Amino acid sequence: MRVTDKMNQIQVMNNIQKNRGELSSLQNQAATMKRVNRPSDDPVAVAKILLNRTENKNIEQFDKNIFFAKSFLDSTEASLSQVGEALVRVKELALQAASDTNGGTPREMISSEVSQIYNSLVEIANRRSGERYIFAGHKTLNAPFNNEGEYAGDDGEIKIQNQKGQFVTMNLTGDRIFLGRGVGGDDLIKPSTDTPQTVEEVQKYKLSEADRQFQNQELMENKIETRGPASVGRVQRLGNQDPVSGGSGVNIFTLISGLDAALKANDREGIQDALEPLDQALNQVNIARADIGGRMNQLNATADANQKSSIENKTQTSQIEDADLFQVMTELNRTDAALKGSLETSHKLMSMSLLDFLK
Amino acid sequence: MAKIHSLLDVGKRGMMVSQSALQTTSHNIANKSTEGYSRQRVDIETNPAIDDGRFRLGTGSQIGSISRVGNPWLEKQIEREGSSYAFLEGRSGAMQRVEAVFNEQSVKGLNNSMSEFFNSFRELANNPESTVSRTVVRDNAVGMIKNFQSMDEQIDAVKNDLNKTIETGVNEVNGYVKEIATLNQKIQAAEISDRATANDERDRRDLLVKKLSEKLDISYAEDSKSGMLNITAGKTGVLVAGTSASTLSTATNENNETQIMYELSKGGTSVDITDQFKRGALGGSIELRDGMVADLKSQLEELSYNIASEVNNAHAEGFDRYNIEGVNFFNIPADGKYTLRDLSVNKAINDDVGRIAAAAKPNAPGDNTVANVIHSLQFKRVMSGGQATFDDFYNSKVGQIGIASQRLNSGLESQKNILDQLKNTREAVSGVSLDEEATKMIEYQKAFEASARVIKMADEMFDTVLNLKRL
Repeated sequence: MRVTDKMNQIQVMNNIQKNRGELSSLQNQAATMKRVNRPSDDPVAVAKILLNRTENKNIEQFDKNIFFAKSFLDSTEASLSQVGEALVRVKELALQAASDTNGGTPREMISSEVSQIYNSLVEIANRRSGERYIFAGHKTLNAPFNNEGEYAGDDGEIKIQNQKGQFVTMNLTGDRIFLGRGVGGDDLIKPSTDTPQTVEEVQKYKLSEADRQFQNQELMENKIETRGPASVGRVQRLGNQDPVSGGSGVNIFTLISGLDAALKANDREGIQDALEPLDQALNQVNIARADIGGRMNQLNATADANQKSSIENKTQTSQIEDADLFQVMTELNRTDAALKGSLETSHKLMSMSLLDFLK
Repeated sequence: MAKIHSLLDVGKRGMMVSQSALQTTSHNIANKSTEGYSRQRVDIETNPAIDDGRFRLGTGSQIGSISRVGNPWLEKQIEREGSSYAFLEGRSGAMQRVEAVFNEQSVKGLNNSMSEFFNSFRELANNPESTVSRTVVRDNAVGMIKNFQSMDEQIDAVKNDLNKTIETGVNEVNGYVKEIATLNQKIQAAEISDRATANDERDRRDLLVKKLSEKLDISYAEDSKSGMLNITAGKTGVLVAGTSASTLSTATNENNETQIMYELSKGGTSVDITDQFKRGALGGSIELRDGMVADLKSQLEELSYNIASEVNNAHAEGFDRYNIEGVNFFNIPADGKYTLRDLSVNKAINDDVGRIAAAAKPNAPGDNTVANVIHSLQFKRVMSGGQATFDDFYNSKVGQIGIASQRLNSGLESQKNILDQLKNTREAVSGVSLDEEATKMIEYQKAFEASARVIKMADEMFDTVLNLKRL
């Protein structure tokens, strides 16, 4: 084959260009520590990396949500534990007052402690976490209870996303805990457990909510109120079941204010009548606390699962994205040597000419 | 019978032939680096012999022709492959820029800002009462729009670049075309005598044809009588017909696309022949501009429009802090003429984040139902006819760009190899070798010296003859 000068030049240029190209790509990998620096480096990997990044960001957000929900539930639990203690104390006092031989402590004195406890219960029911009232349902910016124990909140559940497509209710509403609404079979329709995630679902949800509110309101209005002893108050059942509504919830505020009234009136029977509802009230609070415990467990479990998938996710991303430094360095040395080789041989190849020998 | 006179003649002719050969050798050496140059060869042949009694007596040499050494078939192949290479190369620069627009390996891009947008609604769901989380929602929405718009602008910039490439390409083409027409004239004039070939002009013309083909699709044929080359661009654009040249022009259409126009007759109407170009650098630019770049622009619009309208639909179901039903979160034109430039956050929300509707009912500041719906849109399969989420859609676009760019790069590399191989073969055939020329130089120089010696010898022979008497 006839070899001309230009062929040598082209060959030399191509080889050097090729070596330099490889070197620059390897250098870039070494500098960024990444194998994939542009979509074209590995298109499939890039799509996967982006997906993993989004997932990781979501998991981070879910972790934040879980942390947030847990702290909200923590403060709810702390409040409920105080409510429980208060009810136990009221029970003690009621027992003491129920007997005529109560050691001589006048019922009047017991009454003053009970009314103190009543006030502290109202205070607990109006407790806030940050700027929001924790027992107010969705009406979080207004105190849910007044001094008469009347509820101004609603039964709205605040749902927090803890996983893709999964929500956890983080609040307990005051009407349920303190007024006993929706506890047992009082026919009140509870909020739907499903969380609407699409426009269609939210439209349906809004309709069913309006319907539910209407029916519940009607139920409350049409309820025939039975007049029980003062200690039990109105709309309270005697025994385990309200004969009219069939519910077994206890209105803690009316119960305690009724007890207070009975104490003041020195009404021993009224006081005795309050004993059993007090147990049920405690039970009502404990059920709520158990509910919190269950949700906490659920949140912890998802937090663990999130943690796990976050680690898996990061490992996978690293595997497809990060450069194998050892390999890069080896390649770098090899290419470096190759470039030096081409430069040296180029010199020899290009400088040789017959003309040098024709003197 | 041999005569001393004819000996003088042989010597003279030998000197002249050697001199011409040396001139050609020098020409070769001087044009060693000239682009498109083919080495030239002097074909030396014997001078017509004369009858010398019973014999034919040789009368020295003469120059048969001075011709180019080359393989026309190879040149044609280089022209074809060069056009394919230019087609790839014309796209690769712009493609790299497109890839950079969608590259999130080193900087945060749209994927990130979409995540942040939806996560800010999750934060809002955690705390719908908080003005801070509402502000974060607004700021992230604005950030996402900015990101969309800046990508859109970068794509437009790539498109404008491609337009500019087409414009300058057409100018170059016009330059080549005029020169080819002039060369046609020169070649015809030079080749009127049947022995001469216009080697340098033909080399130059071949080179220009290759360059022309690197720009756009051409078809060409040489008129065997006149030696003139006729060239047609695309299917209908006759650029060179004999010695006359027609030029192409450019025009911008309503979509801000530079079109290639061809004048049907001098001063007559121009027609758009852009679609006829599928090869060369211009063909590549046109394909990328009207293909991938235009697609990506409309896909970004599609993505942003769907996010905006889905969020708007969900938002309209909600109630804001003032217990008013949710307004449109994003401003999108209702008349269907949507461009990314029109996308913005509703001014009402921009001015007062309390207008963000997180609740599904009025008078419920703690209700986060609608916020939950909006961030759930991130996982809803909205795009590609309900097949893909927003993230899927975007990520697959990035993947597609990566694949296109990867394919282009590997195509470019293999095409370069093919072209290099062909050029190498061309250099092997037509290239100037200094070693070879040096050898020839010595050869012809010696021949020149020897021919001179012949004349000297003939001179001496005359002397001998003239001095015969004195002996």
